[in-house]
Amino acid sequence: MENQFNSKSTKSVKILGKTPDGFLQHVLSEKIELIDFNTNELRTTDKNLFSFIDEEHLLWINSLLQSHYKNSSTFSDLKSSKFKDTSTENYLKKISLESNTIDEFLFKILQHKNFKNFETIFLFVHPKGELTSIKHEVSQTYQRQSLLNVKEFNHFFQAIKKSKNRSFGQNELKGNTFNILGTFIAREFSLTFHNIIFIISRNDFLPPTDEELTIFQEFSKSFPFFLNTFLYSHLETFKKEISYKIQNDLFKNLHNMDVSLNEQTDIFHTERLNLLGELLNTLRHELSNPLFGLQLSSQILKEDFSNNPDNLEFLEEIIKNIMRSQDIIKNFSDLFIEKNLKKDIDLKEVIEEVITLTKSETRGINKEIIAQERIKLKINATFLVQVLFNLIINSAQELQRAQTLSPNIKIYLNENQKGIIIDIIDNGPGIAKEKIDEIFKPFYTTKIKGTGLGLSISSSMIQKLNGKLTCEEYAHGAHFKIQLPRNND
Amino acid sequence: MKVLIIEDEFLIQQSLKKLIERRGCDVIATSLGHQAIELIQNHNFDRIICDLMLQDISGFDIIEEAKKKYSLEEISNIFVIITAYSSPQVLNQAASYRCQVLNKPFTNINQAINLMLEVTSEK
Repeated sequence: MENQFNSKSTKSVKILGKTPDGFLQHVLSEKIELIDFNTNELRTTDKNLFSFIDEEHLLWINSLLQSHYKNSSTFSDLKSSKFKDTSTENYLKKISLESNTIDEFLFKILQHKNFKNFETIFLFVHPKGELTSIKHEVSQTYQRQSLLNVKEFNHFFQAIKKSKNRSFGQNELKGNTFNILGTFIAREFSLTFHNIIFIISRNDFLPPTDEELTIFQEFSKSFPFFLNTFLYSHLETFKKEISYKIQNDLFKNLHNMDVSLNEQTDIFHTERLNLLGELLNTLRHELSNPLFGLQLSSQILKEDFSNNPDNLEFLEEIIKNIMRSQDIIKNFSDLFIEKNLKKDIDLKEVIEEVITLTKSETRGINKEIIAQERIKLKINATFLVQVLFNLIINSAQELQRAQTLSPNIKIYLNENQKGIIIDIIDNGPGIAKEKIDEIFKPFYTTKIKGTGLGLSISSSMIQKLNGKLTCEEYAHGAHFKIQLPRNND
Repeated sequence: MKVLIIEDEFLIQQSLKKLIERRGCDVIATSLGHQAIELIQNHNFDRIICDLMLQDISGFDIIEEAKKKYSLEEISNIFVIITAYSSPQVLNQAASYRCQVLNKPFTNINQAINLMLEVTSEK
């Protein structure tokens, strides 16, 4: 699975047109919101990420995280070392730099001579805005982590905030599900990204001494700062480490990959389309001058032939064809406009252009656009054209492969209150019900030379237009549906 | 009416020349910017139809040269810019001369030629 992923991601990196470095930085800095310290899992809130990195890939990143935890230095090593620092602040600074995990950090606090009478530290970390908080429990002999819901967390947070002396008996906090034995000292902190409850317990029933309370108070002054820094830098370190590991694996695989030139051209499907756009623009500029010359000169001839009906008819036909050529070249290059430019389009006209573009690939297949009325919309047609192009080519390839009798592709255009719906339906072999979710995943393909990226890229392009691309269940062929909002702003 | 056509696409140049001659004008055509500047210096044209994209220099360069001979007011009346690339920058610059700008290809040839030859004393 790992190898499979690596080669896949190499491709996806290329498709994105970014260096592996840039791609990863993008993913890690923007997409991965949080590393869950309890489960060591990465969480992402960006659904788009899944169009390039699916759950399988995230699992793989997670496994890297797990190994990171395993490799961190053992606690027994740390216990044996002697700390000479007397100042709490210096000590906290030192251990926050030395520690790799939050549990290690807490364990080292417990080693400090000021806390030698204490058995256990509890740290409740609630990342602001999240629904759960994480409970870290660290003693001389064990570390444990568990989840706590936010409601409970908030309850304790408020209760501790109200308390004056920070000292609590086992039964003093209502609904104590902490499983903390005996009396304990607690303090709540509000950090940049987290709310924190810090609890230290001796696991006995003697109330804390005045000396212990003073120590704790002094500790509480500097602890939030270091914890905050630690939690923050910890997250960054993790990101860097993962990024480094993924990069290493990517480059290793890059060397092992044996991709022939042909396969590569297939991979760059979108690049090909972009190139086509550039080509069409060049053609437009190069062709428009001679065409304009023809248009003008035929005007002269038309004036000359005004009393020769036979020749005039010919000439009219020549002029018509010149105008048509001018239109074609203009419309094609209009399809490939700048990324952020929106233009008013007539949907049917655009689809007609796409069908013309696919003419050679869809030879022998009947194509039909069914629309009740003209649909106008303001959109960047470039993406839409690429998706339609891709869907039509897919259909055509399947129809040809299955040698379907009287093959056809029907494109239905409809409008409702919500927006515009384009249904692309063929009478080919179709897509099995259980495969419908699979086909949009990157690298899923049934073609020998396919990259498995067509539909996943198509899907993300439609998402960029704030729309949705789906595959519908259909018994007599394949049915793809594009839903677009009316206002694409 | 004396007309100069500066256009480097031969078929366009010759066709325009013929079409305008048929309106009873005296037409000189050239495809070179430098030659056009010379012609402007030595002749008095009522109308100069100028393409922007030439092989040697740009149409704007010709207009700048023509400033030595004509006032801004005269330039706005004499020059007609024809262009296939109507980018906002080009249009802005063209607008700064306040002369007529026509896009290639013309949707209606006769109308376009009428516009070119129109006597535009007041703008």
